[in-house]
Amino acid sequence: MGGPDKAEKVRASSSREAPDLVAFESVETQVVSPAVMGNFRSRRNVRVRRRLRMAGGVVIAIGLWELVSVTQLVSSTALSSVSATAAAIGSNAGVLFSAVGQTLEAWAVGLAIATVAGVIMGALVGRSRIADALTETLVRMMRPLPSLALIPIAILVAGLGLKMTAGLVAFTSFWPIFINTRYGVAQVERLLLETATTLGLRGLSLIRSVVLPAAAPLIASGFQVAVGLALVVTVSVELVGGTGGIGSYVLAAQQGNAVANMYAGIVVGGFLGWVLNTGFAELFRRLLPWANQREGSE
Amino acid sequence: MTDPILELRHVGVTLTGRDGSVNEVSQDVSLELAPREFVSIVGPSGAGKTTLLRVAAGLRRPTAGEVRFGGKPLTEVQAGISVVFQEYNKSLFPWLSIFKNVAMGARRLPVAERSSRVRGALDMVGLQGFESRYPWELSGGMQQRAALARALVSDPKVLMLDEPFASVDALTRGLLEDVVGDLWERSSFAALLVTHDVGEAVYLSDRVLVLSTRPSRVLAEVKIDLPRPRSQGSTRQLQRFVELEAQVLGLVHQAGRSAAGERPAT
Amino acid sequence: MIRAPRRAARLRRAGLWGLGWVGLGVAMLVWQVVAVVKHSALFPTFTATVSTLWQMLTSSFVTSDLIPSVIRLLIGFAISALIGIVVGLLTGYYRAVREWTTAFFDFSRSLPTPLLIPVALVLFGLGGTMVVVIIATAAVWPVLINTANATAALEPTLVDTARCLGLRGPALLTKVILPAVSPQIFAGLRVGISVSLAVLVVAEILGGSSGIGFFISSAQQSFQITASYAGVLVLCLIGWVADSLFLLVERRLLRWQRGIVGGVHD
Repeated sequence: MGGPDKAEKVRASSSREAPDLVAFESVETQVVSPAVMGNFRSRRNVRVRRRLRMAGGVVIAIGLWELVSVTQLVSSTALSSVSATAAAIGSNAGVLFSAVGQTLEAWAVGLAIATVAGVIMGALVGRSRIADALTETLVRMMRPLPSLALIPIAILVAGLGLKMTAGLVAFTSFWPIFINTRYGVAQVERLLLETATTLGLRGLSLIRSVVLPAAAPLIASGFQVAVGLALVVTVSVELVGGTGGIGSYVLAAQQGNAVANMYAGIVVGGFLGWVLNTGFAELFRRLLPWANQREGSE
Repeated sequence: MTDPILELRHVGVTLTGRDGSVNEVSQDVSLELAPREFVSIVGPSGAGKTTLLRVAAGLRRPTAGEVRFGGKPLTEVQAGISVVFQEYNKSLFPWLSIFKNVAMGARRLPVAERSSRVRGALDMVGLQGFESRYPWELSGGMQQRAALARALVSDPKVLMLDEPFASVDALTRGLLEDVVGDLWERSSFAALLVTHDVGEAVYLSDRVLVLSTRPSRVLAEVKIDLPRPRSQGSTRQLQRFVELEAQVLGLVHQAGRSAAGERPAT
Repeated sequence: MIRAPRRAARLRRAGLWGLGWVGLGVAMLVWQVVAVVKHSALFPTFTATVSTLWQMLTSSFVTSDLIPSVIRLLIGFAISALIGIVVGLLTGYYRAVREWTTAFFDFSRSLPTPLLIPVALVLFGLGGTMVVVIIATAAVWPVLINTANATAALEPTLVDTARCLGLRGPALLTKVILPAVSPQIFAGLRVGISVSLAVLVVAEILGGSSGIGFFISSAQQSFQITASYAGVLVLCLIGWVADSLFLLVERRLLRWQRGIVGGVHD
């Protein structure tokens, strides 16, 4: 191995922005070793134990919540009991359902725009050294930019409504997708590309059958960051602008001193976030089975 | 005969995988290691050699039987036993310089002695001048020398080597074998080497133990009556070396075949 | 042999870095041109925004909004970093802790933090405390999850080696585990700082009586659009400075890691 080659690799890796690699996957990364096949019953026991512990953790958390509220450790004007919250969810199911629908609409439209734009632009920029360097500082300025600070301005410029919310969601979610795509496309192994070229793949077919699949795990993790981010932005706009949706519901409940309703909204919002996060994590696990070997490729 | 420094008595190991699978790796393995003795364990791949070594080092408790070190039961890792792992790139601390890596092995020594002992150990393995380098700046062979220096700096009673040369090229491997052999001749530690390279085991050892496939047992023991000191050039040319290597190889193949359904001829 | 290409690489890196600033300059130019062409009260030019920003930096904005925000940011982020690292190490290292907390943590980190601002308002009223609590609540997750994932995926050989060298308890934690997972902790902290900045604004808009977020929204409400834009620019600069500081510290502290990332070892 010659010196220049090493220098090249070092340069390539340090000049680029590290992607948002916060894995939005389950904390427990399952390592299933096919070589270790053994006593089936005992394996199931361990799995059952894990499920039980996970459920136990949730039960304990709910129990603590109830305890804090019953003992008035936190006054009932700030914390509703578990049962009161459950009842509030039940009695406001219709309103909550339509609030979730509104939130999801803005979330989905914005995220869809961000995904299309982020993947296309990321792929283009990532394939070009120059474009990559040109966008570097800009990205470093924009990435930590609190897009939420744009809410007041966005309200003024675009007015309240779906268009504004979705636009802001798109703007915010664009960055993690763009950054991860750019990085993912740029770091595709040269060996892989050379092999593909010798197999006669060129141009678009090279990108479609080699570059994008190789970058897909990183793109997916960027997308998963965007999923959470988009929800935060949507909810924030709803809180600030009062445009409806789950954010407005929670704020209205607080302003009307309806503590139970406020917590109902929070629980439903948390559940929505959880479903979206775990749903996409599971989807990508099935769609991209080769993503798991990313760590092991070293 | 002197009392063994390390002793495995009817050791059995059953692993419970992270996913809960259960796997019997060894059953009833017994071995004795005398002070200053060099013993190798060979066996077909998947014989649980590494697991056995981890048990012998006190890193894992056996499910059955016991391990004794210096006449006392071994239940935890202890001063006096050093281990060199196969994956030097994972066992050297990448955030520490070579000097500091080796100094990690000298933690139990008096502070005043540490620095000179570390230097001594680095000299011993031929790494003087590389003290301030980071592991990744060194070649694989040199990294493994650093790991060796770290294991020996504390002047252990037993040195355990887990496939120590499996990740380096053939030429480097020969050199490293001689480094280990020389160090062993000059120092007072007993060595327990786990390897799948039969030639290496025969070349270095006083005795070679052949393990069966899982759940492993000691299938055979071969005494290596080659003269010492040994060297790559002369020892491997000896008729006796070739015979012994063939004998051990035959036993390993037999052990491997038994996994495929045939019973070993006992 | 090594020196020359290294210098060339450094030069090339400097060139790329320069290109990055050119890119930023182009973006500013585009902003300016578009603003001049559109000539809208809602879209001030870049130069107007910068000159407003300049005036703000010599006004009461600094003491009444900028400094309070920065202090809230630092306190909230420090709390989240501390909790995130400690709890992350615990959940990563002990499987039982991980299993008990997984489901609860999965839910908690999926909950969009701004939804908790109304609760924080009820509990802590308007002002700094509530903002700090919201920042800490939001920024703890990236740190915690990154630390936990890295700790859980720790190379077993590394831990084995450390144990063989006699490291246990606090020494194992501070000398081996913490350095080994520090790259991922840093990655989590960097995400955490940008999350902090984001929720700071919303919290201050909804429930602050001072701070940059409060400034931006009150400027908007009194139709001082340029000041609003300037406020956003201030946040950009804070984010950029924080991120750069992080990169600097990271490069110094994790110098050892560059070789590994660069794939020098083979």
